[in-house]
Amino acid sequence: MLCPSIVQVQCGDTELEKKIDEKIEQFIDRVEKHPNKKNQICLSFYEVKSKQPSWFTNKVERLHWEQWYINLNVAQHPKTHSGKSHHSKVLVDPGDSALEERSIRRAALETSLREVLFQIIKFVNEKKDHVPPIPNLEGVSFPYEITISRYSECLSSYTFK
Amino acid sequence: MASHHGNTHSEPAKMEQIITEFFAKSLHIILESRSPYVSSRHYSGEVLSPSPSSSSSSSSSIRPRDKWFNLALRECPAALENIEFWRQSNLEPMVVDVVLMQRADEWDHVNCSPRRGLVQNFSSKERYPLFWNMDPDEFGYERKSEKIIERWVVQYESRKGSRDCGSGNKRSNYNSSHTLYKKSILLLRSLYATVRLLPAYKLFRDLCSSGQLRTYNLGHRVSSFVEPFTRREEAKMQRFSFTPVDTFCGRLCISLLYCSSVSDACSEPSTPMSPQFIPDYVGSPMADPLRRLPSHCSPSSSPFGRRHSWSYDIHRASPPSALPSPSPTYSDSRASYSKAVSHRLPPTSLSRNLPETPQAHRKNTNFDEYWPSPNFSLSPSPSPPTYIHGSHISKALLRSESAPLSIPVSRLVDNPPMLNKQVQPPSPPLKATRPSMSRMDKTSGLIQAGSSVEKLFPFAKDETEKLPAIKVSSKSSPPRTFSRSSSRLSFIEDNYDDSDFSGPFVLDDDNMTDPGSRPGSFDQAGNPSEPHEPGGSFPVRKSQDAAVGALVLMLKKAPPLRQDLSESRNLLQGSKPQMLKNRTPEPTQLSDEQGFHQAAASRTSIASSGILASRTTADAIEELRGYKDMKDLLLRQGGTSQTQASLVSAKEFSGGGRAAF
Repeated sequence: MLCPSIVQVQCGDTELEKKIDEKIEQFIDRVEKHPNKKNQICLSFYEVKSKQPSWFTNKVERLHWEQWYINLNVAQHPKTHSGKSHHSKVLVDPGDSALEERSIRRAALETSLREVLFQIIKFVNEKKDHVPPIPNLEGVSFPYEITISRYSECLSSYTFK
Repeated sequence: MASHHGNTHSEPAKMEQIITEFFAKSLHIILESRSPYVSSRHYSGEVLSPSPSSSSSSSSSIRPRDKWFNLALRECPAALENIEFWRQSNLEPMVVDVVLMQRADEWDHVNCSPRRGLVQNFSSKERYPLFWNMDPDEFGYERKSEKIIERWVVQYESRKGSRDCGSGNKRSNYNSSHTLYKKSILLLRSLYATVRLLPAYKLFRDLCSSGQLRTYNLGHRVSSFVEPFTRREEAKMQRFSFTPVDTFCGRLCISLLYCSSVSDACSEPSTPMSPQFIPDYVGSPMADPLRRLPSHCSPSSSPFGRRHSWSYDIHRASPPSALPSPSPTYSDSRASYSKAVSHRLPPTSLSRNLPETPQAHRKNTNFDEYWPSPNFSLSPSPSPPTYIHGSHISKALLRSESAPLSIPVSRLVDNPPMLNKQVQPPSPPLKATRPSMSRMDKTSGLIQAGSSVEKLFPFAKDETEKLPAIKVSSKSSPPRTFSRSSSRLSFIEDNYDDSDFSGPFVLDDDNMTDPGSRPGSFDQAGNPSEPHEPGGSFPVRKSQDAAVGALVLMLKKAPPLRQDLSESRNLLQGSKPQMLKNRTPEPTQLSDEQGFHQAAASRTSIASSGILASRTTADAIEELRGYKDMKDLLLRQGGTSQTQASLVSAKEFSGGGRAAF
């Protein structure tokens, strides 16, 4: 766990957790294939609007009532650019400076992550009227969709480094 | 409060119920994540964050969990006990203070909460007050340090005017309760997440996860009225407010004041106070006391009080700079200690510190100043210091042994070709060791000589003891000395190879030549000649030895006069009694100076008795003089006849010389 101090609240739905893990794997593969590309994860909540079934259309319409766009860019470690020739040195002496730097980065990441989570909570609480009635009282309350796409301009951006 | 309308009767009731349950649920969420005592009891090993879904409810099949707001939580007695007041009236705000308490060393059985009086409808059964995570029977209340790290305020702000509450159609009322419920779900879920993002939750987790005692604890106070924070206090805190949930008569509000630097104030990441392996425990001699030396002794005397006095002394004795890396074994510490001692103060200064040892042992001061003196072994201490002291003593003993040895060594300075000025091997009377000593003198310093002399010292002692006896014996038994002297002559030629020489050189100083006649190197002894004392002493022997050496040199260097003279010399250098015997018939061969010959014969006869009596260096020197004169005479006269006459005269002189002595 990158940030053990950040508590992850889970809804307890195994299916949801499984789906999230799949999406994480998908994102990792994407990042490995395109290291320097900016990626965006979109979490979308929708409600199913079933149209009047007709002879021709029997589609289920999804009405997205809330979408969260997360711009996630994986940053390269700065010391990897020092060259592979010094790789042995790094191994031999990762150095207190490297560990300290890592801890500093971790602390900064924790702080920023905590701030982002607070921001999310704040957003969630600010607007509640658009939320439709909860269809499922057990498990996941609303249907959702997670998509990973290339970076595009979006209203809200949370960059994790 | 709740307006009762026909169709909306149920609705307001529902809303009322929702509001009431909202209070309870919010308190439950807060206390569940802030009250470690309660949580630890009910901690069944599951994830601390309970699942709000109904699927998790099946996991705890023991008792039905509260599923209000689609959030099933574990039971929280603290919440149950404190919510009764608000079940009756939810118009009063609910203030939940999360208190961080620092543990004190002393327990004080004082009434727990000073603010108790302010709490209305406070539960009489205060089983879970602001105390440690211990059984209620054992706790005590500390007022050491309390700090409110969080203040939650849950309140229902009703709108003024009943008209707002009563208005509304069924649909809105219907929507109201459902909307209220929906929005309450979202709000409580946000509260659930927020509670776990705050710094205080880390403290709670630390208290719950590890069963070890910590210096802090979390407590709570639930009240409807609290003393507001001062501006100064509030400035240090951060505010977070949830968006209120509107109801038909008001709105539900949750606000928070919290300290963001809580974790820093009492951060004890993983340093428990409970029993744990103490690496620097000093309970046995094998512990390394030297480890704590760089800290220069914390003021607490308890670790040192537990130590033995000897270990303490050793610990104090070793300087931090001189110490090597902490040696795990005691033997290493001793080695380092011995090294340190060897480079430190002389023993004289150490003895002063010795009486201070017991006092300083308690005072824990000046570790570097104290050095165990050689008297350290006298203190009632166990073996290890004696070991160290033994090593120290051995050196001292060695030194002490070497010092007196310098006296006998100095005697050999008189023998310049063999000896060095600085190094003074034992005296010649020492047997068999002299050659080795001579070599040593050339190569080694005083210490080596001393060490070897150490071995020789008893030997030398024996020899010196023998010498007086020899003195006596020389006087009493002349033949003995004579034999010795003769053997000594041969010894002189053999470069001191013969070890059997003691008496003659020691006994008689009478025949010591003048210092002026001696070669220059001979004067190194600086011994005045005291030739006329028959009884020799040790200092006199020194000059006599020098004389012997000089004589040897002269004899070596002196060219042979003639064959006859060389023969006569050989006769003299051989057994003197034989020479004497030979001489007696020789005068018969003489011519011309018969009177002289007769005198020589008489002298010879007298000399024979003299020879029997004693034969000393002086005699030899006299003979040498005679030869010298003879040589001169021969050179002047010249001719074989003159040679014969000189032979006769030489005999006469030798006999006269002998007769005289």
